[in-house]
Amino acid sequence: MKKKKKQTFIILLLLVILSFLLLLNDTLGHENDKRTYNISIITTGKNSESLMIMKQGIDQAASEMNVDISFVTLSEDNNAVEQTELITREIKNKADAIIISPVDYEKMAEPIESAMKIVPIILIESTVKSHNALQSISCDNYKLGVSLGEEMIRNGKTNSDVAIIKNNLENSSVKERYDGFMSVMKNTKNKCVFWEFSGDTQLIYHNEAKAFLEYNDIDAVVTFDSDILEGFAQAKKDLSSVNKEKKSIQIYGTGSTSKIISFLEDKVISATAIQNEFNIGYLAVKSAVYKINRKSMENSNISSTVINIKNMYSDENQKLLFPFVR
Amino acid sequence: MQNLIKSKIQKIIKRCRDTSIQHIISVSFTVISVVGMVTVGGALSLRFINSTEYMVSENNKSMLDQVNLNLDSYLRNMMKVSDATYYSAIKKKDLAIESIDKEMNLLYETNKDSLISICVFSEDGDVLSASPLGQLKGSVNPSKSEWFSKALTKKENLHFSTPHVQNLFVDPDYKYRWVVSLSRAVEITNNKKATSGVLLVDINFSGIEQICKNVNVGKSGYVYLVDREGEIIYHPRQQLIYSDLIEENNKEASNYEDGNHTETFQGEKRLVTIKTVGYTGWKIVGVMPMADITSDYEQISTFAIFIMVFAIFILVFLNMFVSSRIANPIKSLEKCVKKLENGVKDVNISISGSYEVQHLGTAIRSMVNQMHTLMDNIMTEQESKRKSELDALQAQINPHFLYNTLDSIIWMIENENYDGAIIMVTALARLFRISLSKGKNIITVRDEIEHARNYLTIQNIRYKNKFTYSIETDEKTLDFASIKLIVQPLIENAIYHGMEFMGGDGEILVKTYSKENDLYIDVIDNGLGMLQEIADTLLTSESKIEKKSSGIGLKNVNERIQLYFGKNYGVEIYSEPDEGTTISIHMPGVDFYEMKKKGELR
Repeated sequence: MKKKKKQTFIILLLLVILSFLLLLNDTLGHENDKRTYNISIITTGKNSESLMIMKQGIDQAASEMNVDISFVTLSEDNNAVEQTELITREIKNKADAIIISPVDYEKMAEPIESAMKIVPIILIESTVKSHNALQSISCDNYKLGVSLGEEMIRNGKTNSDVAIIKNNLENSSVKERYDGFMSVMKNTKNKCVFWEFSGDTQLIYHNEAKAFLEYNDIDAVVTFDSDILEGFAQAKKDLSSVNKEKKSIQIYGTGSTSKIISFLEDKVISATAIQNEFNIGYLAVKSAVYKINRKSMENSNISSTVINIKNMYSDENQKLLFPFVR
Repeated sequence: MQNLIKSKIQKIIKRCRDTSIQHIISVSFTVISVVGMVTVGGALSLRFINSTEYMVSENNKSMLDQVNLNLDSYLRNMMKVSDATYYSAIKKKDLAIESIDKEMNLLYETNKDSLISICVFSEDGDVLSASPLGQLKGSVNPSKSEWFSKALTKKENLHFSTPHVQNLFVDPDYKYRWVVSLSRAVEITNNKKATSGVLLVDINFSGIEQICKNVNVGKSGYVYLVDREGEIIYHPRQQLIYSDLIEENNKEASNYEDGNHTETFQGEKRLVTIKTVGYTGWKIVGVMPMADITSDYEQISTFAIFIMVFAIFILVFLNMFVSSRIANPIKSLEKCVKKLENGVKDVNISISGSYEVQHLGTAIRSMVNQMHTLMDNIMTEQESKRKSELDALQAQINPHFLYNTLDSIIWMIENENYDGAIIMVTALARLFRISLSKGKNIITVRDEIEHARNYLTIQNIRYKNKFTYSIETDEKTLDFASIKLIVQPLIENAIYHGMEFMGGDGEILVKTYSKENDLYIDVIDNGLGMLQEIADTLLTSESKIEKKSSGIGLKNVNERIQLYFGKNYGVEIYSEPDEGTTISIHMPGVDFYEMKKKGELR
């Protein structure tokens, strides 16, 4: 009888303790949900205009997931050393995760791999050379290059002189676009002229593009960088007011800054290939949060499309091109 | 199967029957309290859930009403701008002669915050007037736009478009704004000719956004706006929907009636509140995940469960305590009784617990005490019975009497009085037969009287007719039962104490009769007698007078009767000096043969 009493006592006591733990866990669990994350985003350059849309995606995700974003731009475009320093600085600043768009496929590989051991790192747009298959949140850049090439063919440039600007090929996304584009060019009778800018400021782009267009007789220009695209467009616009002939030069590129769009509307740019940057920003933050919590996220594809003057105001494309200003 | 269940139930019932009182009390109290707690808790939480759901849905409804009010007044304001432009500017003026720019600029300036532009187009899509003044983009053809064609097809109505990018005018800052176009067909007087045109008011989308943005519907709820066809006009995560990152149930929502609905979308149960905006046919949709409501319940229910478990825990102990308080005295009492059952003599019966149990204890204690005294009494009674029977047995063969009688017989034979000797011997033989009577203690009155007669016969001869005797018997009494050898000692007493000094005229009368169903046997003599006071003491105190008799005197007779039949019966002595003594035996009138049948004889 006494033993039995003791048994019931112990069982009941355990029950009480269990329910108490349940209660405690419940309240603690709720507090856990409210954790804020500090996530740093390191870009490839100083120009944040091209990142406008991506930033909106980032902000949207940040407000949904309780994230404090610190946006870090480089003082100089595509500077690998500076980017490496910034990674270390952000780690020191106790970032929970770092979202980075690597400037160089090879040079950034080592710093990113070592940083990865300390904090979760999410790559966007480009990737780095690594033994681990590092997933980068980006559209299929090769396909984007292919689409751009196909658009060019659709516009009748199958037997023309095409200038290809090879800047930033150390950046994997640019490289993939380039490869995609070149794979289309191989099957055409287009004569490819390769060119590389020596500087990396807007002014240099503009001047060099102007000089290049003035002294070369070419039918089309292809670039895989939005800044250079802007430079060429501006140069073409300037030149065509003097020389009507230059108006027929077709300019193809990537990016969707409002300047590019207005050039597109003015028919200065023939087509631009864009990716859904809003999604990149949103998914980057989302996967960073998932990685902090050690959850796995399914890969989602970022859509990309080629925009020209005819389709730019279609329902889908205007949603891609013109994000809501908040 | 059924049998199995039946047997199981029976087993349980049996076990219940066999369990202790403490167990029954504690278990049943606990079961009742647990059931009570669970029912009360469940009912309360159900009530809570119901009222919360009701409150939440009502709250959502009023929230949407507020949004509707704001949105309605906003849109009405825009419609007023359109009306004002049309009725006070376009209708009044001939556009070929006069300009309406001034009026339009005024309207634009006053509503600058919520407008992007006001334009008037001709039937072919040419800009007739616009405010702010802008250069139409070369690539744009307004007449191909949806708002343009819609306005012309349904002339009497105002049309609200879905949000789109305003791409009509050249903007030096390369800004592209999202607008909702309010278009209508207008009649334009141009050179005194009435032609039709389109008036366009581009509403700044951010104005609509502002109205819907800061509406809080629960923790993670939100409000969105769809048009008649279910196209999204505003959604807090609009860009995500446009980017296919998330989906919204907007097509379904446009088919809902106004009010509250519950739907399951992408595996999530949610409360959807719909409100239709006047004129436009837009619908404000308030979405609130059920999880928002239920997460509160969960917290509350875990808390309630905790409280419940805690209360049950305390109740169980309280029950155990109470039941032990009730049961322990009963149990100790039961233990004492068990001891008694096992024959332990000196049991200290515990008296504790509640009043009832205490009472039981005292009652049992006094009962036990009484039982003990009764048992003692029985033992002493038995003892004395045995002793008196032994005494009676001795009386059967009183050697002195036998020796005297035989002496008399010898003497008679020597004197050749053979007849007398024969009478004597016959009487003696009969006397002894009856006094033995197969060892039975109870005989008929007939035999008892016969025994007395034989005794009297012998004694009468021995005392040479010093006295006379007579026996009167009532026929009715002869078959009654009587204790053996009770009359003879009385006769003996009468002879010794009454007759010896009488000198020939002593008389002894033995009389049996029944009165009020009782049997009386009187032995009456006319001897010396005594004071009634002395007679009364004969039965109680140890009297020395007895010594002279055969050893078994009155007292013995009295005791034996009382032992057999109880204190109500016995011997009574009535005496008066020089008058005589009457000794009356009083016994119940029981038929001997009936008694024999019942087996009450020993």
